[in-house]
Amino acid sequence: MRLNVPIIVKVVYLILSLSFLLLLMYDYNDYSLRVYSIKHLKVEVKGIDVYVENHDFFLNLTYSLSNGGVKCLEVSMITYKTYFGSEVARVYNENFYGSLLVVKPSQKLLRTIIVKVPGFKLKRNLVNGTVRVSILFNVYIRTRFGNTPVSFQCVKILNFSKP
Amino acid sequence: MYKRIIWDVMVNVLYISSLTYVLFQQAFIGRIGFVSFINAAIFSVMSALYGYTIGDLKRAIIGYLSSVVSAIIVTTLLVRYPIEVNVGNLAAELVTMYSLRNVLMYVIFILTPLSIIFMSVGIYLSQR
Repeated sequence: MRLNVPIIVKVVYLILSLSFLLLLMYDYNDYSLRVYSIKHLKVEVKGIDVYVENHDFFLNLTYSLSNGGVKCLEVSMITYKTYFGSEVARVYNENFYGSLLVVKPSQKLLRTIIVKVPGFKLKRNLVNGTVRVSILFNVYIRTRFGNTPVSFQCVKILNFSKP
Repeated sequence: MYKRIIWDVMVNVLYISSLTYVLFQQAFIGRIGFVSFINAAIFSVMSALYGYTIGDLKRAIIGYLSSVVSAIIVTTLLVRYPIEVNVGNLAAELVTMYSLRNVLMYVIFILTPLSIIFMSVGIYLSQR
């Protein structure tokens, strides 16, 4: 039996190109849904509290990280920039490069961090026993472009009496 | 006559889809690395098959050039659209510039030389 080479080549071409088309559809879908999920990532601050322990000032922050999208998101780093008034009090990083923090769809992670803050900055920004605390979150998510930061901000007025 | 035109259009559309897949992979990578060469090698096989299927150098070159232009446009739109819808126009512009630069570098320096060589091989084999 003689093989009809041109027909075989055409069939191989069709199969290969259709496979590429399917892969393209899958990849585009993945990319598009990941961007959609990043848009629906939310950081909600549940509570901020400043307390004193052995003459040191600590900021206790509880927040939730929720994924309202449809794809898992991998968080590689979170940076917290804390302001007292308009002054930067402390910049703190949480690094997850070793084991990424995975946020599954519809998952809500409740996290608590405690960071030491300089007391003199808190004292000089006290106005009538209150201090305006604002926290700027930068959540770095692994995407096809690399680690992409997504920013969230939270502002709260805290009552604080000078110790 | 019409049959040949329809066949040519179909072959070129499938070639554009393959090229778009390869360019879509490359659009996010800022450098030309191992994966880029693997993609280029796979696409070279596609180019040889494309050359064999078309069987004419003039038609193949015209088809290739139009496919490259179409694939670059489609890739840029595919990369841009989700960002534009979900993030914003400024981010979409930045992503467009970044992906277009990556895609153009890849097409000019890697894909076109390899594709033309392998397409010519395919055409040569079809004429034997």
